Amino acid sequence: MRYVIIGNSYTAVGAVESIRELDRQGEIIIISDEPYATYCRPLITYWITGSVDAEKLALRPANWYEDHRVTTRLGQKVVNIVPESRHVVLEDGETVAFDRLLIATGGKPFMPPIEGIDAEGVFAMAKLDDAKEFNAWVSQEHVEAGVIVGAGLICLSLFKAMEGMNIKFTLVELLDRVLGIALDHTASGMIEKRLLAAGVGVRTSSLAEAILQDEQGRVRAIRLKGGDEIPCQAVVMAVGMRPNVDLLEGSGVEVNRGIVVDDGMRTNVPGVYAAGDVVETWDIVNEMSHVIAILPLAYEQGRIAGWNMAGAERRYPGGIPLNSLPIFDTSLMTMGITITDDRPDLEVLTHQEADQVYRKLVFREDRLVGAILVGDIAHGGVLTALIRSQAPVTYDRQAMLKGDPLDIEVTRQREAARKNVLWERTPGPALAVR
Amino acid sequence: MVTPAPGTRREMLNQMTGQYTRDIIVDAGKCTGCMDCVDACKQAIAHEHPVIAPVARITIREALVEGGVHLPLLCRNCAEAPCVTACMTGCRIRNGSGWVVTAYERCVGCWMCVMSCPFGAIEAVHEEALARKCDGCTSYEVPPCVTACEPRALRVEGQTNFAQGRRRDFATRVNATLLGM
Ligand SMILES: Cc1cc2nc3c(=O)[nH]c(=O)nc-3n(C[C@H](O)[C@H](O)[C@H](O)COP(=O)(O)OP(=O)(O)OC[C@H]3O[C@@H](n4cnc5c(N)ncnc54)[C@H](O)[C@@H]3O)c2cc1C
Repeated sequence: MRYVIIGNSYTAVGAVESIRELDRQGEIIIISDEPYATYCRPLITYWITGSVDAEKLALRPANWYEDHRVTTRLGQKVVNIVPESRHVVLEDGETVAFDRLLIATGGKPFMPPIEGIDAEGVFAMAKLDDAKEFNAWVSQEHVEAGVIVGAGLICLSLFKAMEGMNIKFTLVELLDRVLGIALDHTASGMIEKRLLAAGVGVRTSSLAEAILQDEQGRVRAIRLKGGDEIPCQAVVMAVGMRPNVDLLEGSGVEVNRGIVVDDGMRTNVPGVYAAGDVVETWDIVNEMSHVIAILPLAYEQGRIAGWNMAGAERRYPGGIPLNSLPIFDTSLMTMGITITDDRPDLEVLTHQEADQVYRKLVFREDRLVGAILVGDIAHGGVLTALIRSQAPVTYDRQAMLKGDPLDIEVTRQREAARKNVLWERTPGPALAVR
Repeated sequence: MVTPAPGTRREMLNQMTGQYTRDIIVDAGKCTGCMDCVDACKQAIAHEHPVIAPVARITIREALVEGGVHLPLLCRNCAEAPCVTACMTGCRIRNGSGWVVTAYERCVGCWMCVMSCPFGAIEAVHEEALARKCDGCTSYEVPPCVTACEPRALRVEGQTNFAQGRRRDFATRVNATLLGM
C-alpha cells in the first residue's frame, strides 16, 4: 500500500500517526511545497521575536519521520491530481503514484486585490517564510510603525508574540470590533481596551483602501476609505485564509468553499481523502458544513483520514469553532456559537466582574452550544466537552456561569491553611513567553 | 462485618497482573480532602518548575453539597487525548510509558489544551505561562500522590480490580445495614 500525503502540517502528522497504528509496512510519502520539517504554524510569530527557537518550532522530534518510516519530498509542489491513473503531478512534471491519497494542503492567506498590495513591506503571516521575510524587513528597514489589516485570530496572536518589539502597531478592521467573528461587543471591548493600553492603535469599521508606496516601491502609508492615512513602514495582511484547492482543478474532486468530504474524510473520488483546513467540516452546533480552520480539528481529522486510508472504519462526528488566545495579561477562549444578536432561539447567560472577568454561556434548549471566557478560563475544557457532546445540561446553570462547577474557593482556602503551602495562587499578570 | 470471600481465580490473576497497569484510579468516595496528595505532588515536581514555586498537578475539589463530597482531579490519561490533539507545540505527547506527558520547556502557554480537557485537569499557570498536568510520575514505582493517600482514594491498580473492590465494598455495606450481618 502506498500512501501519499500532500501537506506536512498538523493534518499530515495526525494521518501518519494513525496510519502507523494499523499499517507498519505500507509506504508513506509526504509532499510539501514548504522546505521544512513539520513545524508549529501558530508559533511563527513567536519565532520572530526569538521567544521560540528553531528547535522549539519543530512540531515533532527530528527522528519522527524515520521512526514512522515516512519518505519526504519537501520543497516540491503538487500542481495536479490525476485520480484515473492514480498519481499526482509535481511542478517539474514528475509524477508520484499513490494507492491512497490525502489532501492536507490547508489554507493560504487571502490577499485582497487593493492598490499597492505588491508593495515592498507587505506581508502575509501564514508560513515560516512569511515570518522570515517579515523579520528580515524589520531588521533591515527602519520600521517605526506597522499596520495589521484584519483583527482576527492571526492578528491577535501577533501581539502575543510581538510584545517587546519596538514598533507602534495599528489595527485596521472592517467590522465594528476586534475579533468580531468570535467575540460579542462586551468581550471585544475588553480586549480592545487592553490593546489600547498596550499602545496598539485600533481602527475598527475601517476599510483599507490602498497601500501607498514611496519612489522605491516601499510601503509608506495605508489609506483608509474616507481618506485617512496611517503612515507605516510595514503591513501585515491578515484578513483571512482560503482553502488551498488550486491543485484540484480538473481532478473531479468536489470542492465547495473547501473540499467536500463525508464523515470518514473521503472525497467523492474513491481512494482520495482530505482533512484539515482545506475541507468543509460538519459543525455540530451551527448544524452545517463549513471551513473551520483550527489545529485541533486538523489533527483529529487527519487521524480519522489516516485510519480509514489504512482500512479502518472510523467516523468523524464533526467539530466546533474553538479559539484560545492569551492577549497580554488576559486569557480568552471562545467555543461554538458566541455571537447571539438576533438569535431568539438561544438563551444567553452572562457574568461579568468589572473589567477583569467575563463569562458567557449560550444555550439552545437544554444544550450548551457556545461560550466566551475572558479572564477566567478555568475548566474551559469541560464546557468544550459539553458543547461537543451535546449532552443535556442538568447542572445548575448559574453555578456553571460563575466558573468551576465544583467549589474552587474551598479548595484554595484549604490549601492555604496547610502549613507547607509553597505557593499561593494570585491572579497576576502572565509572564511574557520565555 | 463480612470477611471477604476467598479470592477467585480471576481475582488472583488481577492481583498478580495489577502491577503491570499504570492507571491511577480515583475512588472519590474515599477521599477526605486532606490534601496530602497535593503536597506530595508539589514536592515531587518542584524541581521541574524553577520559575515559580510549585503548583500541584493534582487538586481536590469540593462539590457544593451537604457534608461535602471531595473529588481528586488529575489527568485521566485519555486514550484519544484531546490535549494532545489540541497541542500547538507538540509538547504534549504520549511517550513510551503509555502516559500523556508534557515537555514543559516547549510549552508556550497557549491554553489550547486547557480549552480541550474534558476533565478540567489541566491548570493554566499564568505566572510561568505553562499548562501543568499530571504526567503520571512513571519514573516512580508508585506515584507520590498515591503513596501519600492514606484513605486509599488514589490507587494504582487495574480497572477490573477496582470494580471488584467497589462491588465488594457495596456488598459489605448492604450486608451490614440491611441484613445486620
Ligand atoms: C499565525 C497563525 C496562528 C494560528 N494560531 C492558531 C491557534 O492559536 N489555534 C488554532 O487552533 N489554530 C491556529 N492557527 C491555524 C492552524 O495553524 C491551522 O489550523 C493548521 O495549521 C492547519 O493544519 P493543516 O495541516 O490542515 O494545514 P496547513 O498547516 O495549512 O499545512 C498545509 C501544508 O500544505 C502545503 N501545501 C499546500 N498546497 C500544496 C501543494 N499544492 N503542494 C505541496 N504542498 C502544498 C502548504 O505549504 C502547507 O505546508 C494559526 C495559524 C496561523 C498562520
